Amino acid sequence: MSLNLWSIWWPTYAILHNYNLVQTNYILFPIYTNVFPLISLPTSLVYGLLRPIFGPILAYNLILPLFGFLNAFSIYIFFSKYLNNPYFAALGAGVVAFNPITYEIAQQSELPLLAIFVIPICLLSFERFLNTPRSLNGVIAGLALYLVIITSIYFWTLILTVLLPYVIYRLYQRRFGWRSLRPALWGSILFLLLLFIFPINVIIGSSVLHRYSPLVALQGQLYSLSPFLAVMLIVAALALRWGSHDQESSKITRYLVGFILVTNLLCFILPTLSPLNLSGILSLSGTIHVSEFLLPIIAVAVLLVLRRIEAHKEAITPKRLWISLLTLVLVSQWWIPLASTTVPQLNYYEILAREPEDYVIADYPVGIVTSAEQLSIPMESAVSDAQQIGSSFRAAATLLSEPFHQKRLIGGVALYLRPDDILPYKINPLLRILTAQPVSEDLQVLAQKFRDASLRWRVGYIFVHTDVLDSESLSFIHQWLTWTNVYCYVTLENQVEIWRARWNPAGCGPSTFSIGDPNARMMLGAGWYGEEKWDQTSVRWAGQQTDSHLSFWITPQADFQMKLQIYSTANEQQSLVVKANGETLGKVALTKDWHDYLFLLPRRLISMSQGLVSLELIHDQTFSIEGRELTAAYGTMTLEEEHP
Amino acid sequence: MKIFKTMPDRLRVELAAALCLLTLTLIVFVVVNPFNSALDDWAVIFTTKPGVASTITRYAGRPFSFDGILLANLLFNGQVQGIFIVHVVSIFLTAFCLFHLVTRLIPNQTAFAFLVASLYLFYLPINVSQIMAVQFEIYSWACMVAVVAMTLFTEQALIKGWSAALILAFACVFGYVAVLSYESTFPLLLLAPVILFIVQRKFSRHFVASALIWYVGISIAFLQFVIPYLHGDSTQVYQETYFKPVRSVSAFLSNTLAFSYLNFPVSSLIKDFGDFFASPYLTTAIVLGLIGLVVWRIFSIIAHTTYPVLSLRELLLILIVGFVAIAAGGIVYIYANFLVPRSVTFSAIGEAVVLSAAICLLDVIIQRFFAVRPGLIIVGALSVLFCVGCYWYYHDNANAPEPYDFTQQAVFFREFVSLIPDVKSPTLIYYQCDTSDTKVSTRYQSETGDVYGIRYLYDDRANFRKTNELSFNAQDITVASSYGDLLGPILPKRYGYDQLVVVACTPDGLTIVDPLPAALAQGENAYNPYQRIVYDYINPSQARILAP
Repeated sequence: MSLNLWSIWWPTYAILHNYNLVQTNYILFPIYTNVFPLISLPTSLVYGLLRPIFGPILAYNLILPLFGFLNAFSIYIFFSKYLNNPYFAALGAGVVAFNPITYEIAQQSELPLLAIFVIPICLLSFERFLNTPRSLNGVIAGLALYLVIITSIYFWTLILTVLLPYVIYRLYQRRFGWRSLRPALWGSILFLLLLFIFPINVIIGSSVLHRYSPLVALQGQLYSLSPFLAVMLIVAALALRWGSHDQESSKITRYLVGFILVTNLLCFILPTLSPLNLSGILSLSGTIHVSEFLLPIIAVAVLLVLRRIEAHKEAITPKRLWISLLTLVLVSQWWIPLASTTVPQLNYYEILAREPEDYVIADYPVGIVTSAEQLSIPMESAVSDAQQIGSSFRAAATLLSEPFHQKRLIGGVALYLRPDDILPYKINPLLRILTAQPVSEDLQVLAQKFRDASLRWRVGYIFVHTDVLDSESLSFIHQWLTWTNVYCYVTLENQVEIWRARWNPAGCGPSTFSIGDPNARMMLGAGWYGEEKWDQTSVRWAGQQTDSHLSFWITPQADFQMKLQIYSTANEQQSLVVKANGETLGKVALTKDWHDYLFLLPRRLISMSQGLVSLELIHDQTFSIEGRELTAAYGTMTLEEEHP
Repeated sequence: MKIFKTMPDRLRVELAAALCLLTLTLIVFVVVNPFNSALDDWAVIFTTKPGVASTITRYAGRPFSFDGILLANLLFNGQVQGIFIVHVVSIFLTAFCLFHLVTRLIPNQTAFAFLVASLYLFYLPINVSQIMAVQFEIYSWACMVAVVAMTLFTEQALIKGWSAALILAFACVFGYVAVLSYESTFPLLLLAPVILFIVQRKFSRHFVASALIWYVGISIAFLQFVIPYLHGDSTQVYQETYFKPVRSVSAFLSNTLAFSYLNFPVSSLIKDFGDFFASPYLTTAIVLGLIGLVVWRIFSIIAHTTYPVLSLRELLLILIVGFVAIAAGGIVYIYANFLVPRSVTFSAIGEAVVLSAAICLLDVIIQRFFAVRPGLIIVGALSVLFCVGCYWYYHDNANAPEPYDFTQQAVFFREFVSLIPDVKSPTLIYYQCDTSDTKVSTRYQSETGDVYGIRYLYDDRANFRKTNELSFNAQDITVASSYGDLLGPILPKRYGYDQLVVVACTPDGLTIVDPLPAALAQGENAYNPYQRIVYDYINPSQARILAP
């Protein structure tokens, strides 16, 4: 579902915003992947038209009934050419449009694959040309064929296994000479012209397209044969045999039926022999995408049977008719409700969608699932380790969010990836942390790289999904984000914490660290006790020794005024010396109770250590209270830019 | 609708030619990556900024040379792909105008005209330049404007009345723009009345008057270019710094021979033909070439053409005209001693004519002596030329210098704007990267033209320099004049350390240097790069140009 919604949303977004339609890093940032096999321009156009009216979800849901209707309607018109009885045509259209195959396609939300109406439209436009061989009809036929091409890459084989034999059959039947075909040349040249505009350039530009795109199979196994489909196929086979023995059927008709039956069945059973596979454009294998080859077989069987029944009307009784109809409805599977998917839609996504820049959004935890993982086809051994990275269970939900916030995404459901492609996810600290992979480097080095990468890649927001995190992971990310100080906490919505990058013009305000908060633990060095709550205020005692250490990161963009909120119990004079990166910032006398103490943190000191500030809080003495050696309690530390 | 049936024959043929030639253009360009770039592409993009195009006279007296890019900017709103589209459309329009020109000059020879136009697309020894759309759009644009001017001039001679005068006026305007887009078009434009005379073979008052107006129009443009040049303007200074014009007859003859070889690089063609069969692009090239033949056939059927039936004498005459056109297109390059592949851009029109005439000539001769079926030679030659043409485009595209480019692989500039979304004006960005370090050199080699990239992205608020162009003094930094100062507003030559941002490269990516490196420590107190940076959303137009 997630990849399907994404692939239907993406083309209109890419075209309207001048992005490359095919090579994109909108998913799996910063990797560029080829999404061509996912693209269905007509489906996206429908979605693009419906979305502003009905919203992103209803628009998507409306496509299914719309395509279902268009399928049935176009097949009805096509069958009407061969059947005299309109009821028979309607029945036939119903069977072809609503059967276990189309149900399976709908169930998996493969909307482009459901747009089979383009095939009858193409056949009808060709029939129109045959009846009136004019240039305009030739152009219409050419455009109809182009419509098939851009609707789904998986229909391309059907051009060879259904459309071409049908065209040859009809030309032969109508005794059409080459001269009569002249008006079709306008359509042919227009078809070629459009083909070279899109998609031939994409195929040639990606000579290794198939290596990136066995996304033929996302969630798409046609788990052997469903019992319904098995029944349907047996009936179709029997019907074909019965129907093609009609006395009226000519030899050439039988050849056509035989050809369509054999080629499509072969493509279904042995998808590696399909023209798409042989040409190296795409890998098809035992998936929902090969089930389309069964549809022409069913269509031909239904048409032949109905023609024969039509010829023997006396055999039709109301009882037989009702039983047949009921059986068909039962077998079709369409009476079973389609599965629904929960969409991770946050109100905050709308705010993000309105922001003018296409920065990157990261979820925590996030992961990648490549379709290859779910394929049963033999893979190159070298790529086997590129199938799953990080918290892959979150991949689909992550991808599903992109059509809503419309920003680039780290992680997600991926296309076919090579180990080289996945490299950034294995070596970059930011990606490794976000994908919850183990990190072993020195934390300071890691933090600096994390800060650099978040800036360099414009990772504008991090969404922390608290509902899927255990307490340890949640605590880790809180501490990490607090210490590295490149993101600030914004809000919580539906158990999702939203953290915004400090560079974001929406702003974060001054850096404030609550030293008493558990999230500050990563900041702390030696000389601290555990966190305490005093009237809802988080507090932490410094002690055990006179010196207490803490560190934090900040961008050295100016001198900072550092305000420390300190509680002292001492009745007598107690002094505090504050050192930053080894240099004394000042010495103050602490007075009893809570007070704010100000120090100037020069930019020079921060830049010396590339943004890491190590503070040393040196008290002159400790006090023994309730068995603990204490110096002072610390509340918050605030850093504000000092403007000259 | 009976639109196609009721369409006049000429219009039908022209429409069919337009569609078929457009398809042929797409066939050759289908393999070309729009972002194949050369070193100074950013200078081209930079000219789309308001007012910059007018500063081109600092190094070339071609005030209209960037018109195509301005049009691309207008139509495609700052997209680099827009320049590619204008480039491809310019080449298509040139081919179509050639078709129209030939059909008007040699009536009832649509097949020959289509042959000339399609060979213009497929026989291009310059395609190694042609595929780099962003840089060579300037050439394709100028060539297209010149051919449109010649077509209009020819058209006005064949009709009468006020419309002829109007078309002549347009022809002169196009001729004027063509010369000031690229002066190399001038000799080619001089040929237009001569060719017309050869075809009509009569002096009429109409012809003399129109030729006179035409010559006046294009001569004014040429004088506008050449007078300042001879007076030693900045164009001359720049041109003569980089190019050494020929000063002797022997050097001229030697260059002419070399130029002839560039037009018909026989040994390279034979070698390429050999490589073709061993190439990984063989299948693709053959399939594309065969589709080209199908398109040729479709045109033949729609336009009811037969194979060219020109006499031997006519073909010889066409051959001579073609050679003269080649010479006219290349004379400037021969004189300028600048014999690079792109120097045949303007003689490519003549090449197509010569090649077409030669193929037809061969067809006629073989027919006469061996009674071979008419057209067999033409189809055979076309098969080879279409396939090899596709191979050239594919091969050259694959071997184009790997761009550090500003689009799909725009790591360098994308990181730049990520680190520095905007700057206060004026800011000097000093790029410090040791490219001998193998860990970083492959990703972060900055090129000469990058200064225009930074000037474009930061709207001239930032200047971008590398080590050898800067002098770090005690109080300030002085910037030496360089290629980056040729276009656009003149930027400051001195900057304070408080206006400096140092960017360095690391194996992980670009980074802002802070504190200053020890070598520049004299400016340490004033230096604060973060105060020069304006943290904002990246400008949408920047995002668009950097977008994949």
